[in-house]
Amino acid sequence: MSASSDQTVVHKILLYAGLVIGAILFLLPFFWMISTSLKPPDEIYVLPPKWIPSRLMWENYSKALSAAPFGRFILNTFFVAATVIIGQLIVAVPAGYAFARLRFPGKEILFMIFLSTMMIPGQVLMIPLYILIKNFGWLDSFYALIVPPLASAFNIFILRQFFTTIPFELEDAARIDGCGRIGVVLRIILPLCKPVVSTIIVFTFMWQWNNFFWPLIVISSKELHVVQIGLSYFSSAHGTEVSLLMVASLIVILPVIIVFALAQRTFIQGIALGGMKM
Amino acid sequence: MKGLVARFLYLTRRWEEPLTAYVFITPSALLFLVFVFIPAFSGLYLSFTSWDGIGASQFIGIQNYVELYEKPLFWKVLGNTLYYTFAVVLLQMSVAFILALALNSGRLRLKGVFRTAYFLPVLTSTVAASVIWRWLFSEEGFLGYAINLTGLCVPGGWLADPRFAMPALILMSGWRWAGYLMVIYLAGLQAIPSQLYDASAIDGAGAWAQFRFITWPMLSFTTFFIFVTSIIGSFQVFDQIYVMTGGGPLDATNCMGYYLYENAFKYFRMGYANAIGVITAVIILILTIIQFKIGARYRDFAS
Repeated sequence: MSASSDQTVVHKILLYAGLVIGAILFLLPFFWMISTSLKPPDEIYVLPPKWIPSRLMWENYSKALSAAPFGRFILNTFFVAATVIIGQLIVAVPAGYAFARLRFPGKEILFMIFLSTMMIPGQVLMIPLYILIKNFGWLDSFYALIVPPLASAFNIFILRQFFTTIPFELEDAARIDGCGRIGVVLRIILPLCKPVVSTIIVFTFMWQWNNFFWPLIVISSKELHVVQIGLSYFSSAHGTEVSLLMVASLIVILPVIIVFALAQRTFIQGIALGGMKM
Repeated sequence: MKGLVARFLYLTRRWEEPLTAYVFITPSALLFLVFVFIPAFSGLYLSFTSWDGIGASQFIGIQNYVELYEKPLFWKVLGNTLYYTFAVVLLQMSVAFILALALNSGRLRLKGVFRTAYFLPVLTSTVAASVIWRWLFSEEGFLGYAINLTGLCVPGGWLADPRFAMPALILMSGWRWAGYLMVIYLAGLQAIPSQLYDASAIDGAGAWAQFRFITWPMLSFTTFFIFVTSIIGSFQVFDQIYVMTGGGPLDATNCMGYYLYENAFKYFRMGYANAIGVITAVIILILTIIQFKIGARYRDFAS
């Protein structure tokens, strides 16, 4: 008996050691980013690389913030993300409900058609979409960023899945009590689907926050830029000022980390549930 | 008045359900039509034209495709994309799988801490991660320095060397997404009923046998799903290339997505770029079909 428990102890030590080493390796870039962001200029290019800056240059932070309007970028991105989320919910919740609950001719075919939009790789649509947006006169405006993402079959898909798990009895009870169909949706269904809605909110927020290619080609005015484009321009303009670059990166990463810290369970649940929206 | 309305509602009752349904669906349907289907078809049409985006477009048949076929750069780009895609997916999935197995084993303290640590890279944006790793790979960066220490002295860092630029990108992308796949695998592992393991232990199954006959088959659907979606996603890589290498050095990291962007928005060859897009879509479709054909064998086994 003692032989196998020795083995288990050895196994456990190896496991922990491996996990700790792995975690350190994974977190090294973050540590390096923070360390570099606080370094005085003369310590950045030192070899061997210095781990802890001799003095904490908090001035780097104010320098970076004044070099580019990050506050504006962040505000823009939040605005776009919030509008997209609200718009997506308004559009997708009824559709998901209809596919889950209502009977109507063409239901299966329409659902297949909706799902097929998920199978078209985004990149092939980039240029034609750009041309479409241009023809609408939406180039260099928030419309270009907000309206196209509303066409999301993924949301409809997971909402439908969720709605099918709600027992019919609830709805019947409400109808007996005199609730109209819209009332049923608003008063019974919506309050129940908080987990799915939270998932959609978190995923859409992350997707919009990280969005780069699309804003890159449709937005050109500095005032309208989203945060990733801001970072990219900052990176080209201040490529040699590495400490400022690291500050900028940190600023760009921070909001998502905050959202994660607040909604960890929703995040993890959502990934396990949907697993797809990268 | 009330009587009329009541009568009207009674007469329309049969139509109520389908009508409501169509009303509920129409906004989405319209959005899909305008922002998905119309661009899809116009993109296809545009791939048969020559257009600089400003003047009129000129129908030129399959000339764009012929040009792509005959252009060595295109084949290099395609090769790069396939290299990147399969390397990244394999790297991500193996790391994620091992991590998930490790984190799922028995009573592990600090499990949440480890999970967060490995998941943190997923919370960065690809652009921010690219900025950070570009710095890391430079000769003064930590990684560049460590690499030089091992004797592999590469002037300018890995990103400046055509041989190592792609491995650098692959490494960064693996770091960026492994945690995400790990979470999916963890969910899959936790869905396996523990009775299976208990029963097999009673029957004398060792750890390896348990893995081979319980864990692996029960995860086969998850693995398949992750594999398919990762391939589709990785094939369209763009952000990292734009920020870290600009397609270089010497087109070593030029992939389909970046090649499309270059031709459309740098060289203003919209028709040609659309042809690249169409080919990208077709290749992804073929890859997905192949995977489904191969996967069919394993999926039946799991159920």
